Amino acid sequence: MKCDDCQELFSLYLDGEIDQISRSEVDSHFKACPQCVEEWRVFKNTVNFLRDIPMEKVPPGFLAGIHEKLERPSLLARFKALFFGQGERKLVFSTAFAMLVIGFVTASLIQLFPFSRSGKENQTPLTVPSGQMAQNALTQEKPSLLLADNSDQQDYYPGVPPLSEYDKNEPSSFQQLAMVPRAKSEHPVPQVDFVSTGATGHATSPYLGAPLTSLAARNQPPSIKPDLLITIHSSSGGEQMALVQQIVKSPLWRAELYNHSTLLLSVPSGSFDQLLQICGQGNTSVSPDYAVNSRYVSLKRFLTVAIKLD
Amino acid sequence: MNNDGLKAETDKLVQDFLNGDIQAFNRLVLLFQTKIYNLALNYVKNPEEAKDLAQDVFITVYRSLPKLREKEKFTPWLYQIAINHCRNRYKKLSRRGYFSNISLDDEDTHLQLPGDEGPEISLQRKNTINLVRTTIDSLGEAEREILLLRDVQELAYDEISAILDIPLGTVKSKLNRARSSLKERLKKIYRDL
Repeated sequence: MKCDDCQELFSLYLDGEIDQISRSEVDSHFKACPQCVEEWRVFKNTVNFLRDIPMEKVPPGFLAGIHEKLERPSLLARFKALFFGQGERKLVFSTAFAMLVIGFVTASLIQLFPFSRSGKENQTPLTVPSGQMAQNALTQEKPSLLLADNSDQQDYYPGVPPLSEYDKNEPSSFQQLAMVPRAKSEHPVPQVDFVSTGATGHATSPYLGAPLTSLAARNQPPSIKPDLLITIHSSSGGEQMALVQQIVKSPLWRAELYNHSTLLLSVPSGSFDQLLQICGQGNTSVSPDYAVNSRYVSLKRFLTVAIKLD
Repeated sequence: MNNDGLKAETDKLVQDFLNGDIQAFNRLVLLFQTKIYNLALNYVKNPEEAKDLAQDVFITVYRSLPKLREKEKFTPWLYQIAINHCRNRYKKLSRRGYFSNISLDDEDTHLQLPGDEGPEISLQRKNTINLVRTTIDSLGEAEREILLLRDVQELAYDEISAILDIPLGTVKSKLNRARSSLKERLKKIYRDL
């Protein structure tokens, strides 16, 4: 007998369940194999130790607890008592349950049989677009051809007009709304398009030759309130223009044409006396009058002066 | 009481209970409560949980005993119910992470040994028992069950075969494997066992 075979019989040997032949084989193996004897000793001690472990005592009230649990109604019994028992609870829970069932059944029926237009209901749609109401009033005697065509179709979206009502043949169904372009302004502002200049650069740009629109070209120039107004009265044409040229050419201030008869000057306050001096050569008038004397003019850094040709 | 005496007593109590004697059921409980409670304790490791589990076993017995066909096989039937309850409760508690929260070193899980030994011996023995219990828990489920049924519950081979619903030969081989496995594991810890 091999050691493994011997050790496989340890359990039966210990419990006395082994047959006589196997027992004698194990006994004879033990005589020849001290290693298996040692294994047997440990095996036997282990099992005996396990068997000697005392059992825990049952906690007090064990039996009473069983009877207490037995007397406690089961979940099924409590459920039955809730719905089929006595008292107000029964009414409340039964009603709630019934409402739940009714709600569920109704929801299921709606899902199964959605509102359909059958029979007479086909003649009058549930809702009509407002624009079509007048049309329907006129053609009430003969049913709509469109609706008759749809009679065999289920309306899955009650309350929403069918697509056929959006047909082009019924222009009165809806108010026509179109995108109307804005009226063009009288003075179009030149549009700038940011086009790549490419190889030719700006040489081919259509804006190169176009005249620049000045302020004077506008019908309504911006309202400017000059600090004072100098009017050059027309005595003789040559003298008036000579005076204007002298003013324009002066490097002391900046001049710009405001309109065909008015010149705007931006005069440094230090140069105002020179302007008065030039203007004093001709027939001019200054408004306000006190401006003739530069002492009464407010000391701004720049005065805006309008030169007007009378 | 030897096994034959216990079986005769059990059969009589079962018959009395089926004839309407409630006290017979109480006596059946008293006869098996320690074994079933300890079996439950081996699974759930907590006295309160084990008590509740063992009570549930006896409640099932109370309600299902009239349906038992072979009245003479009450003991295997009782253990079948107990094993099923234990397995289910063990799975349920494992899912909740119950066993990761308790330790075998807790005072509640210590054995209450008889006080006829000195405190030092008692403590040493207590530690050894806890070690053996821990080693049993480290075995596989099938090995652990067969070891508990045979060496702790002291059931016969044929009873274990009926309870676990496996052939007698399988019981023998599995039991030897379980015992050898326990021996090898303990040998590593206690060379002088």
